[in-house]
Amino acid sequence: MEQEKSYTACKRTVFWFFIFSFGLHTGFKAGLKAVSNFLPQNVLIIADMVWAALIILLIIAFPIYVLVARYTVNSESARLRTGVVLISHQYVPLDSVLSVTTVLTPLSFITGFNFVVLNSPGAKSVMSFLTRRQAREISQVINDALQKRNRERGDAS
Amino acid sequence: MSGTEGTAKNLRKMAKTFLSFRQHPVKIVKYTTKYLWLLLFSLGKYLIAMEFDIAGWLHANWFDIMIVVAIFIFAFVRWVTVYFELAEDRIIGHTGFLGMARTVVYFEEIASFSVCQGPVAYVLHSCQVYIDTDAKCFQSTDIRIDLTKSRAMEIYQLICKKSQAQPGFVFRTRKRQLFVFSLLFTSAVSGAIVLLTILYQAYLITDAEFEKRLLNEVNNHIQNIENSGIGIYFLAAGALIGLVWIMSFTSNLLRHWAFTCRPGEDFLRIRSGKGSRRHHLLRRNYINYLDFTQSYFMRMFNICSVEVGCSGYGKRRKEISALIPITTSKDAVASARLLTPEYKMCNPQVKTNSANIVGYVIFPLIAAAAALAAGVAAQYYFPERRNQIIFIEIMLALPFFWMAVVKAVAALNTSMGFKGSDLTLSYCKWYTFHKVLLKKEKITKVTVRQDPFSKIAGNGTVFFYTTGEKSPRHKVAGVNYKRALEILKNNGFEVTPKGSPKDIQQGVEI
Repeated sequence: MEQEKSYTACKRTVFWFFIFSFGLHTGFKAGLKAVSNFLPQNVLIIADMVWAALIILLIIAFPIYVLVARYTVNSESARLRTGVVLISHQYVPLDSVLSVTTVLTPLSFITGFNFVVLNSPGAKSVMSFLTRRQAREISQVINDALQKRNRERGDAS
Repeated sequence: MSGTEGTAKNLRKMAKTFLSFRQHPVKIVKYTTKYLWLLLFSLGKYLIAMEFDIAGWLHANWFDIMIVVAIFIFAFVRWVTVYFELAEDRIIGHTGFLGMARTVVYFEEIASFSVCQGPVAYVLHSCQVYIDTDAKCFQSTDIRIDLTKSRAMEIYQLICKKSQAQPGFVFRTRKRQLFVFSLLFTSAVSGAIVLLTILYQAYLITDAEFEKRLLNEVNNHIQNIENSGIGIYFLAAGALIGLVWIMSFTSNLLRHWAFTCRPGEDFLRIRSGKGSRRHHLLRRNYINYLDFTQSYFMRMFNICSVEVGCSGYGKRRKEISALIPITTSKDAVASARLLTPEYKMCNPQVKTNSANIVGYVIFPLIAAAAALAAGVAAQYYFPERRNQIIFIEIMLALPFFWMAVVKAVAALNTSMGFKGSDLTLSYCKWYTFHKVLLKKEKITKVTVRQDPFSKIAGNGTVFFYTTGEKSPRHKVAGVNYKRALEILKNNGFEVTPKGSPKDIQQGVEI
């Protein structure tokens, strides 16, 4: 029976996202205050409103995205379920994958901001917000499958 | 004497060998910067202003002249260092900056080989050679070199020497049919782009004086016509559209004049063009899909054209990846069957219906309504510009109304169907209808998407991804969600994972 493993996104990322958003919001406010003497009042108000709407949207959407995201990997295919309003199911046959990119950001063992990108001709598939262990595990499974495929092709030729 | 003759003979032989693996000398001029002509015009202007006093001109412009000479020396050095080598089964290109990049391409890996020769290149007996594989390398083409026509055709013959042309069937365009269909169905958009590009390039090369004089001339003519009582804006727009239509029509016609496609065991050999001549070799194994395309009017009259998705073909500017240029749908289907028998059409297994019309037309109608509303608001704030605003309002809203009509037809004709290893998709993208024939092994990813409104209606959108120069993604919208998932699952694309959401924890084995 074929082994298949499922992964969900790391919940820690929501906490760290709120921290970063707060920092970004503080920075934006400070920047707006610094330029307030040079810009008309209307522009400042509009910029403030747009920024507030963006932040609120992100604060609502990001946790939902993390809660909903699900990735399933076996030796033949990878499946991704992502999205907040637009729910998207992706199927990637590993036969078409040419390479795998693993992105481990600094301090990601705390934050959970790790990504795995599957590179196929004409398409890229991104598994976002994984723990380091998950990201390494997924990369290993897929790279093993690619190695086995290339060995089989070499034997056949 | 014989020694001298021998030396001369050796030198000639060395020169011949040296030149045979180098690009055509016209490439030296191409290696100079595009904007060198601005500097040369400026120098020429000074020379004329100084009444051809060469000494004085050299004294005044020595720095600019040094720059020009340095550019030409650099171009010459680059020409010397960029060369290629031929072996029995491969071509090795030494390209890039001072020939630093060495690319080895085996003939077996070549997806497409193209030889293009414009009218100026024809006079100089040179042509451009493009060699593409399926790999996405640093530059846009694996190997790109300018050679003499005879040398390029030698390589062409070397690549396809093992593959014999299949006797019997050769597809040729019927010139009268091509002329009439191009006349009736040419799009004005590409012509408009050509016209604007020409004006912009002319503006860069000359100074703003030319532009002012041109606009004054046009304005004078328009004012004369205005006295007759005709709305000048409609007249100006009509003249522009007429002009770009003629340019687009002529360009399309010349591109596909004398188009032939000859199927071989491993390759399709395509020739086309009047003015600019093109030869293409497309390897069958690297063809990703066939695309039967038609506009709304072409659909009404059962006309279509067939494009082929193959790495490198259709990549160049203004190049269309045509397999069968504009012809009747019946001819296109029959010819495609003979040229590429491995691609088969399948019956639809899931299809949209009249219930999907609202979903298809809603966004174009909203956009059209927004354009009209913006026009009404603008008329309120700028009543003195009422005529101009109404004109712009109509010009903005018309394309969206037309899109709504096209999308309404698309809502009844979108489908997908599998049979064995073949897949057929019918969909509409912007204003063009597509019927795409795919092979399952060429599909690199499948995505099924559902928004809240589609979820209520039980519909979804399916995306198929392949390798492609222009359209790697094919979108089939508004099909029944559950039926689509079932069909995909039955054909090896199980998009939704096994196991219920409750079973899913971090790293659970199923």
